[in-house]
Amino acid sequence: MATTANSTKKFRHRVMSAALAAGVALAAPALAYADGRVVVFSPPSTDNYIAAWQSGLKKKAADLGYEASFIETTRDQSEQDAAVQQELAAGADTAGYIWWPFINAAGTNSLRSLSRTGKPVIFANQYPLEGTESLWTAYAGIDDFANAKTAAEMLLKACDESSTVKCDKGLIVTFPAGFSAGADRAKSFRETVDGKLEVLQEQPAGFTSQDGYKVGSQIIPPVKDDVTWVYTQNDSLASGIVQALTEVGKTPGKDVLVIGGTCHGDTSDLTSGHVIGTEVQGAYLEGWYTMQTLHRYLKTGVVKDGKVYAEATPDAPPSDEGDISRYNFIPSPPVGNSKEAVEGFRLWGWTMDELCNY
Amino acid sequence: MISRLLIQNLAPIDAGDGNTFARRRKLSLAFVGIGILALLLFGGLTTPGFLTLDNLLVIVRAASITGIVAVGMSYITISGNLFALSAEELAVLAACIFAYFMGAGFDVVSSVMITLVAAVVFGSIQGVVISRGADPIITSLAFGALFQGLASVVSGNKQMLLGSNAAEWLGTGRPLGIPMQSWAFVILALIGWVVLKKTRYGRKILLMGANKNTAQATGLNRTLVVIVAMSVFGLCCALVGISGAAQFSRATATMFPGLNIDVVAAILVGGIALQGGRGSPLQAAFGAVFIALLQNYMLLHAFTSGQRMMVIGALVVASTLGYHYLQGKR
Repeated sequence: MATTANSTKKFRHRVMSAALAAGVALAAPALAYADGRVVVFSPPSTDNYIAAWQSGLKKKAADLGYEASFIETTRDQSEQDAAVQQELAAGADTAGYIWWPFINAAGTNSLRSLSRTGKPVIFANQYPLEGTESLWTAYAGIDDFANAKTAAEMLLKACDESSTVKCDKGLIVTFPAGFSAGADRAKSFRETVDGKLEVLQEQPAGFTSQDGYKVGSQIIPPVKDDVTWVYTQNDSLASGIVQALTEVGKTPGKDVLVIGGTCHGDTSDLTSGHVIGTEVQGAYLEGWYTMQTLHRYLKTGVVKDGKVYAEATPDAPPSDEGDISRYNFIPSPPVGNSKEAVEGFRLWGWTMDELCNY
Repeated sequence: MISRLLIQNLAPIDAGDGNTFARRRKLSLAFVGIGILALLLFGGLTTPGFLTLDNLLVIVRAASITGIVAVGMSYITISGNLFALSAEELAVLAACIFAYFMGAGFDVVSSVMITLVAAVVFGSIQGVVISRGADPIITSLAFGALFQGLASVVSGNKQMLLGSNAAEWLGTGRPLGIPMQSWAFVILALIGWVVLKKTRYGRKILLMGANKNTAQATGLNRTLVVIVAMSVFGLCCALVGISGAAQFSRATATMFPGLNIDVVAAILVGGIALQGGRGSPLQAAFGAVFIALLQNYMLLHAFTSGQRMMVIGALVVASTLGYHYLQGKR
């Protein structure tokens, strides 16, 4: 099977390389103007989160007079590295780069290549690794540590207020192994609940309901009488966990408290009360804000030290003017599990339905 | 006439010695059977709750998605065409097609029928290309990319909600307490086995895999055999896609990650001969169960995903070597 897998990978690499080379060669002459061209490296938009992220980024780029050029690769860091090399070899001018690696650590060499161009590099979505600070201009996206801390605090509060369950042992179901945002969140969640809740097991699953169910349906039955809470890193995973719990006779929200870390997919488990709460990490909004961060840097050329959290105002989005910081975080405000909370939510003019149901 | 005689006397032609052939086939089955029993025993002794009915149902449920496709894939492998590496993408496309028609207001039966027909057509098109002499691995990889792209277009890279929960029972129903997917898995494995062993078409698949040149020389219609095998594979992928979409009343273009490799692993661990001509859908099914059993054991013991991948990889290598030895290829 190893041979088959290698052949598959090689074939895909060849097809990918040929397609990228052809695409870059065809695009290069047309990009001679390219002052307003922004090159965006990201995993594939077949993932609905990434599709919504790209959509927000593209809209903001168009509003600000840029052309966003997306270079998508499969969830394979080596393919993304090849894409970077070919983009750089094509020599097309660009205003700046937006870098969303799939495997953060493995993508460091490509990040270094981008930084050597002298163009600004905005790191997106995954918190940059320590030691890579000289390779990127600024980070724009979610604060995974704060996101998980908020989720843990919501869970602890729900545990305190629950009259049906006494929180004790529970499970953590994360994004796939190697995806650094998942590891960052799990670490932060553990630190926040340390001494208050016991983690029975932490398992990587993926991003989808199927992934959550696949893992949950196996690890929950043997501990069904012990488990009192489950932390998942997005609401799609939570949906799979809800079904796995239901199948072993548990009522999510009553017997077991499930917290979703990021609204993702749809809000039905939230409004039904199966999930006790989530946070609005709007993919569209994140892409929008990432593009705005690059634009603000291009206008001022200034990066202030430290972190800044964009304000979670209901209607007014942040200004397109002003200096950026090294870490520019989108807000991810918590939302409770009532219909009123969901329907009344607004962030920068968008509703929860617009930000979460994609 | 010659073809009929060959088909009726397949075993002696394949191995030259019918007794040897039958013994090796039984050894292959015994190998995976013993593995399952040993793992059940070991897991039961070392893991609380491992041998409970609940957990055994969970294991069969976990094996079902991989198993259904592996049963379909077994015809391809046994017919001497290695694997079709488009299972994941065809299942995803089927899920999106099903969600599209459900979302458009079609009833469950119509949506299921349309999806099944579409998947069979997609499978048979691959069969036509492969039967013309194209490499099955490369062909199915290319079709997989096509299917993934189509799924992306159909879904618009968004979640496709089914619009109603009318189909939910297809994904979450439990007749007699057993999940629908598990019923489908067991029934398909049995039907697959009966068709392969007791029908003319089954014997044609075995003959084609055992000796392609002889089969063609005797007038056996290779094109038809491959097309039907690929159509069955398409049908199985569609069942998985429909079941997955129905389970959560939604479909996305990112469902079923890793299904291709899981199915190939089930085929190899089940002991189906890579060169074709030997094996049965039951072996593929046992392979899927064995892997699910091992995965379950490792999950309950909190193995990391890296450790789990390493163990499954080692198992596949050991199985391949073991069957190679059993089949007298030293």
